[in-house]
Amino acid sequence: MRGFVPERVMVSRTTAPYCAAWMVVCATSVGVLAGGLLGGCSSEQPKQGSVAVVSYQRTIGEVGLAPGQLASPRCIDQDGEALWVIDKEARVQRLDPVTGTCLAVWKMPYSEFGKPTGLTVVADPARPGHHVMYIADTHYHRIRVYSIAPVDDAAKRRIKEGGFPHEQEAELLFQFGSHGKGPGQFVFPTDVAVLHGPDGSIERLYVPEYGGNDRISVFDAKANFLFAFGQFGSGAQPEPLQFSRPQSIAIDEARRRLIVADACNHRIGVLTLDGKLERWISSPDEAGDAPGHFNYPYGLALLKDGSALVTEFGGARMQRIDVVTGSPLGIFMGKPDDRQPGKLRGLANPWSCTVLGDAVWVLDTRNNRIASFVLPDVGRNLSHSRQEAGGATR
Amino acid sequence: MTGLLQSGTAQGVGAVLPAAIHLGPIQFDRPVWLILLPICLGLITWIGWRTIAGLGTFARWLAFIVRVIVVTLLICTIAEPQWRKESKDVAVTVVMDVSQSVPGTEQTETERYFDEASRTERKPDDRVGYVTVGRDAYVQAIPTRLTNKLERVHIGAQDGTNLAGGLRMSKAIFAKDAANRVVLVSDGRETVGSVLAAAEAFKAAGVPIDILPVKYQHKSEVIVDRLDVPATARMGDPVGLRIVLNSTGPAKGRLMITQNDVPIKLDPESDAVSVPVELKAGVNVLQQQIKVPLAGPQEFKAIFQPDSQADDAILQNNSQSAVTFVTSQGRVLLICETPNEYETLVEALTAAKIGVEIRPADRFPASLTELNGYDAVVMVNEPASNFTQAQQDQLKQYVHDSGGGLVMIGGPNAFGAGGWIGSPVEDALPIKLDPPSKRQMPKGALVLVIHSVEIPEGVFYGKKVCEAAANSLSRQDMIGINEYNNARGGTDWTYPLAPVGDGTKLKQAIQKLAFGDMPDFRPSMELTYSSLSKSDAGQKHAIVISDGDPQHPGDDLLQKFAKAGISISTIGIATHGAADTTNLKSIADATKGRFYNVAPGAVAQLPQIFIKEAQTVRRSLIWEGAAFSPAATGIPSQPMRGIGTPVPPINGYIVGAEREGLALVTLRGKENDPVLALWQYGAGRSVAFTADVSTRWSSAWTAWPQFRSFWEQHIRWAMRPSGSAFVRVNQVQQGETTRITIEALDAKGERLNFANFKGRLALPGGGGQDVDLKQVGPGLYETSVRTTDAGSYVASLRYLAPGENEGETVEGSVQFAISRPFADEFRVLEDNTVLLEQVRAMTGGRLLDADPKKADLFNREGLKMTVATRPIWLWAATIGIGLFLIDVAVRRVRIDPAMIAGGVKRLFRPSEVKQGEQIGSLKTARDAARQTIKRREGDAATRSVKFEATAEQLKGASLPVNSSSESAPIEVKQAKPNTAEPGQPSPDGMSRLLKAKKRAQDDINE
Repeated sequence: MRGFVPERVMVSRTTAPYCAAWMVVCATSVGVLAGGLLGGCSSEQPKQGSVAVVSYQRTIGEVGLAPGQLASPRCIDQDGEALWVIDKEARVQRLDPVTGTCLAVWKMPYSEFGKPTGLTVVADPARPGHHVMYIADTHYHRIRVYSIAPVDDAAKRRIKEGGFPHEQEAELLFQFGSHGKGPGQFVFPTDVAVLHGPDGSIERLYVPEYGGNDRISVFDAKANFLFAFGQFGSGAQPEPLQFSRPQSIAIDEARRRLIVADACNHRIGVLTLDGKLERWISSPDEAGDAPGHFNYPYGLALLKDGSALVTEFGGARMQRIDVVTGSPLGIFMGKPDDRQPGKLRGLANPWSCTVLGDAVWVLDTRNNRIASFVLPDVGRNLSHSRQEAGGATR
Repeated sequence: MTGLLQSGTAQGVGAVLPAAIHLGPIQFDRPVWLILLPICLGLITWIGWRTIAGLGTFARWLAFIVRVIVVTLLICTIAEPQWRKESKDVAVTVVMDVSQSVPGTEQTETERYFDEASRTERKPDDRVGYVTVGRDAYVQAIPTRLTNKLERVHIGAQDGTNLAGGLRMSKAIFAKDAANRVVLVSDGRETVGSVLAAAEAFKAAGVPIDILPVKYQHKSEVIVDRLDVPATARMGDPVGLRIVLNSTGPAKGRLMITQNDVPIKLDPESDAVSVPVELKAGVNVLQQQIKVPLAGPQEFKAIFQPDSQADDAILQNNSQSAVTFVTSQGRVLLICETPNEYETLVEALTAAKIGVEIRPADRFPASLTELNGYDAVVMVNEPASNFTQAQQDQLKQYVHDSGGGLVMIGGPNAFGAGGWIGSPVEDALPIKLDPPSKRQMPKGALVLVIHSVEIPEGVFYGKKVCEAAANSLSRQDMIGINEYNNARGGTDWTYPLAPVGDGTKLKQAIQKLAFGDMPDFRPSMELTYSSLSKSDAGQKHAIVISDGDPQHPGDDLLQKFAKAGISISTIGIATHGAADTTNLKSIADATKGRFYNVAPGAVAQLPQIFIKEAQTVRRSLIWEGAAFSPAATGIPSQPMRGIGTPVPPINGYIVGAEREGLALVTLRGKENDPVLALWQYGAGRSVAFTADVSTRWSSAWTAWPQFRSFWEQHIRWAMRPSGSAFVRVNQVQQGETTRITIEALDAKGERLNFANFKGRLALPGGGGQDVDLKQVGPGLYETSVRTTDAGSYVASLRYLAPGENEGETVEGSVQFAISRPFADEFRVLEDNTVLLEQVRAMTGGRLLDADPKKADLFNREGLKMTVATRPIWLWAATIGIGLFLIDVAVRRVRIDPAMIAGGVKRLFRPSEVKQGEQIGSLKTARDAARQTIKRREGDAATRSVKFEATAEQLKGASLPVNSSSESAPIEVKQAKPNTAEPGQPSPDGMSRLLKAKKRAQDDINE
């Protein structure tokens, strides 16, 4: 049987456009179908905010109790080279931000009553290369201050070859605070922010607390009590200044501002370094997921351009906000996927974040990991070195 | 690589068809459809090649190849292709025996072993996980890349070895994207479950179990193997104790014997409570006679204390205990807190010569054995919260399995108002404590505010306490549960405030509780206040369970609670210190609630606390009003025999409901509520009297002449018949079983034959089992029961035998106890490597080298690598459809590669024409085009010459211009007309077609 032989179209100058169009249709059809396939298989993508765009870089850490593993990590900071993390097992770990390798680990000597929730690392002005670590030992109502030595190359080599990380507690310089509501006492201290002097020396320490004694106490470098401001409440007036669980604070040294994450009031406070209120960003009545609003803002990291990164424990996201105008600059990551209960398409109860290099490192607490995102537009402006005068420090 | 993954039988065909095959990385789940491939390809070759015969050689081959691919892809699509990704990593789960039979030094050593072994010859993505095994199995670390050594989190009780549970747990945490290996580290002495049965699943799954036996032998060990005492004795008789000690070698030490935990002075000449003993290697038997002046169960304990620790490695097996039941007159245990509640009752019972022992609830018997020393338990106005869950279970067991009696007498703290709804004791009572739904009563409303419970098994206990609270409410009461939802990032109702109903939805909601880490109490409290303040319930209460570190809710909100009469009780579990407790206490104080601080080790008392708190909303079950005489139902019952009616009036009682079945209600209150009911429950009996025996509700009763008879008859009815003095019980422990032998005599001391000894054996873990003895000799009865668990087994038997004369029967009862003071875990003197070896051989595992560097934990030999598959049929179909379009294009569009190349070349070649020369170029092109047209016209003229008039012929004729009609006709030579038939090609056209056909045929032939 002879089949039908269709008349063929000769490609010529006249018919070429039609042939090309035909080929384009073919290619487009295949492309659309393949695109649909790829689209169906795409994994979680960070949400883009109105201005800033971050791209997911990597995660480090996994659940467990071995060095490099995390069990509900709750506070994080960095020393310019490595990340420092404390988890709910009261383990203080120094992690390589690239490989996630644990470079040092020790356990807080007392943790039966509770685990630390605040951590701040700054360069030690007295000992070049060393750092000072302030740990808000929340449930022991005190701040413990450690001296951190750099990791030498020999130790790095040893760890790289599968050796054990250093497991001894760092050198404790001093500690201050006790349980109470008096001057210099704490109920639940949550964080420490360090204010540097013009010569780079440590000038003041700011310690927020909660538990009905919601205030910020200010100390000198030797932990002598200077003054305190704030009380428990949710009022928006400058006087009396009220907080409800100021979970995290940071100092914008360049602009002489104190930024407070007033977690249970779902707002961010901008204050002078003497504790005078400049403005509230959002309010308890506006708690929620809209841009510029907050759902338990727990973590803070300041960028040198004056904006702040805020991690929201309840909102399961990170926001970048303009501290001056209060306007949102971007929202990163979403909430759990309601359509697929149990599946998280983003962060889960992020407690805190820090900025190292051109990336922001977010504690993805309930997922027991640390997620990093690149901040291309602000990376070059970041004050990741604590030795840099005028930078933003916590 | 091609492989056959599975095979299945095609039903009815009888042929075996492959279920799935894979070709390299592609797997076909329905490979049977691939049969179409050769058929279709054959057809394409046969038919398709001919149909495209008109194409050029290149295009023809291209069209053919594309068509073959399209058909192949479409057939593959229906064969359900999957993309296979085979894992290359190994996940090793170490199941480590941490029970007390494994010496501590060995445990430390094995932990070091795996720390080192896990770092040897390990690839970056290989994983290690740990499961520990004691009485239960717990995951210490799921298999991860960074895990090396065992970090103990929570290992539970260590007085047992559940290797089977450990293996099952390891299976539950298998890595899904890696090949799994399991390493079993143990001494092989399992006491719970069957490791061989559990290993069957591993064999089926192809997962090898490697073993690392922990070998040891206790060379110096003393075990108090047995303590034999008579199961029953008469009061005042001497009881002979026989203590059997096993020693691996000569040993010295001291022996102490206690009776009900009080040391017995064995040497009258010494002040010491223990006597020195010298043991020889092997079995040592010591005997001692002791007089028992007390009635009831007497627990004896023999304790050996070695002089030197070197003589005795395991101390847990140095004691044994046994119980002798000393018969006496019937005894009743009365539980009550205040004398004015029970004074009249006790006077009546004493007058009736019933022995009564009065105790408050906090001195309730600690064990079922002790409880069995009483023939009945009378509870007067006792709330459920005064009893632990274990005590409530024991009380139920005491009635149901041990044949004891239970009499519950009312008061505002008893029955439903006392939180007994849903308790094990309710099962034993002859009334239901939850009032019927048709009964209109004021209801209570309770809201539970849940925060995380940060202790091991915190979620388990958290759910348990919620269930306890929910169970103690009546179906009409309202309950709500809210918590902070981590995933949603806010506080919400897990169960909105609604009636308890049948509790099904409530229990489902409790199971969904996530125990989120609440940052702030206020949102939860606001929800609670909002719902409770709108509720029409009579009693409103909230309970907060927390570790105490969320932010304080604020005094303003607490004042609202207080003003609305809503109390809040706070329960701090594993609080973080003074600040947390202060936080929780301030909430309770502000709303007139209670604060409880529960240490992590005391979580067992949590349900009691919740029941007590739930009681706050249960006051609505109390009926109080004008006095009335409960109506007698007239149902004949033994306890009411001779009691005149009407009974005296009462002015209060607890509302309950009648129980279906064999329960008898003999007095009724308002709306037919049961006031007095009784029934047989299992082996025992129980009575419920919902009014009280004090002046509160029953002041007229105390002056009632029949008060004593009423209570004597009811309590005697409930009491267990006293034990027979003519029955001797012996018990011999034989491994995991105990042989019970009963020697029965009649009143004359003759052997009692054909008796049916039947009853229940109450087990130490709760529950019971039936016991039925068979006669094995004259007056001799015997059975064996499994006694694997440590603890006390209490037996309660009744018997019936034919009497001496026809028609007479002899009946009686006997109670005794079997005691297993320590688990088999501590009886072990050496390892049982043989069992581990069996597990290894069954699953194809390895015996690990004693040197950790040679352990080769991550050995890949024989491992079944995990394969992940992903469907790719959509890809295949998409590409097939795309290629089909190309197939059409190839056949319909002639592509001239030379022309396309030329076009591309022209497109990208820069123009060499200089500015101003374009016009010249165009003219040149135009001239060239004219020349081409002229040439074509010339050719056309030449080609048509034989069909038309020549130019010369046309020249000779003058063409008329505007010619008139009279002009002469012009003769013009016409072209030769076409002679072919209409519809037929002209002869010239036909010849061209024939020529084309010949060319095509030649091409085909070539």
